[in-house]
Amino acid sequence: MTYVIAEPCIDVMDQACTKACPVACIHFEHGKDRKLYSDPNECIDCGACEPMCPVEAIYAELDLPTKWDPFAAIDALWYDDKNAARAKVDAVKAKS
Amino acid sequence: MRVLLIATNQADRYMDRMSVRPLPVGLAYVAAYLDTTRHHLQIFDCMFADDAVTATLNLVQHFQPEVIGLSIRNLDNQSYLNSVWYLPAVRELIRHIRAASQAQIVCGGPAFSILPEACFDYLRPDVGLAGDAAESFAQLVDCLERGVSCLDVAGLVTRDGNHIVVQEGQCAASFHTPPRLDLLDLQRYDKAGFGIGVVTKLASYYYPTSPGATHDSGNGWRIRPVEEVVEELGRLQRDFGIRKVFFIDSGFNVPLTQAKALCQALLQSGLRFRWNSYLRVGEGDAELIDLMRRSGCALALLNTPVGGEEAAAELQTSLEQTRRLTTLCAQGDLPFTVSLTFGSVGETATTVEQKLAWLRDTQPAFATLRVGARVLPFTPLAKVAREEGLINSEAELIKPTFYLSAAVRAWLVDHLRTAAATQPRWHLM
Repeated sequence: MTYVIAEPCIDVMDQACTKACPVACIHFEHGKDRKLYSDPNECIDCGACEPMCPVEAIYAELDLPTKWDPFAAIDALWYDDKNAARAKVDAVKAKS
Repeated sequence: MRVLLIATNQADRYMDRMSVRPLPVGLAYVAAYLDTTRHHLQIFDCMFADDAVTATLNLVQHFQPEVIGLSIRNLDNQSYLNSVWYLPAVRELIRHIRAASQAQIVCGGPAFSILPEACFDYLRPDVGLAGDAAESFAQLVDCLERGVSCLDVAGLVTRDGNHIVVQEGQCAASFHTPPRLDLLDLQRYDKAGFGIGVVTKLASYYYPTSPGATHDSGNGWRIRPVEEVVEELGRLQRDFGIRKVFFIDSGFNVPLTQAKALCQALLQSGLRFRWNSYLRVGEGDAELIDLMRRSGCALALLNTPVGGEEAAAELQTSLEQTRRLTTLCAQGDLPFTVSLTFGSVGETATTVEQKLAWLRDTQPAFATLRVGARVLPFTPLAKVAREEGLINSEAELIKPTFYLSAAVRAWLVDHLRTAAATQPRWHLM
């Protein structure tokens, strides 16, 4: 598991990170998603995305602030079950 | 004897940028060679410690070690723009340990082995071990236990009056005994990204392969048998659930037959790993890149000679040789990173532009633009550094020292920053 996109991305989705990513492993569906998702199976750990984020939403998994721990699983989940991941994002956002 | 091994490294960035926590594999080998039926062993890894000094002192007080081995991985972070020298923190740690314990303090590791005498003089341990210390540390501890002289231990560094003496000998480990990975927090390292380190081959001047070859670089490969590597991978997967590794190898593609054999063995083993490693410019073909990709390679880090110490006149040749490998990677859909040094001997405005144009054209997944060349001892660059008065002696090179050509010094950093501003995958260090 590698870079994770956390809560600050929700409803921002600047997308500068998608241009920086050399392996195009950051995805979302226009009109359906509230945040971007990083594919843990494709990320090559280069870290190019991290400084591009204007809201500091991207972290190496080990450096992910504890309060955003669920986002590692949420990013991975999106690639298996998009609706389940979206529901978790909504739930996290509703709590905050 | 009670033996405490300490991995002192806390650096968590590769190329001053990527988040990487390298596993202290060397120390795991040192632990593996120690006879634990006779010695009590504990390992402390500073990597994840918030306060390494306090945590170490607590452990020293609790465990009461008789021998403490400290492994030092890097002298510095090799960054000109954000330079960090690691040895002062180790010296401070040793000072605290001395105040709290009578244990024999032994220093070693790759950084220590670059300049053993100078490191010994600066850090002031009781004993040092240059080169691979897997077998030699075990031998040293046995000697200490029996109360016999340990002066014939290969790579031993000691003080004799005003002189520091390094014992000549074979300082290269055989690596046949598997590393004690069970003593390290593998799950946390796995989470840290970039993979758990697995040795496939070693060669560089930190690891002398024969007496007198201490400062040879790139010669005398010690290649680990393919079956041993696959066995270790199987163990990592079976015992620790690891599926991502970094092959510790300064040139995975050299020799080509070995590289292909390992990829094929990985494919045949049925083990499904993602892995990264270094490639050395000079060898490689489409078949290798294909095998690497199919056996799980996700990223190749190119060890580029460009801009290091070669004469500026040879720049075009170096760029073309590197291009051959980057083209193979690109055609084989294998992401790669490159690192280019700017400002070494003979650099001019023209050669800087040549390199930048090459980078734009090559489009690596990630590029590191090194400002200045880190001067390492016993290299042609160190000779130039001495001749130009940058250093008086090689011993000074335990501190971060960069050569930056006078011809580009005034404008290079600003120029590179401007060039990188439009390239999100370029990083200056």
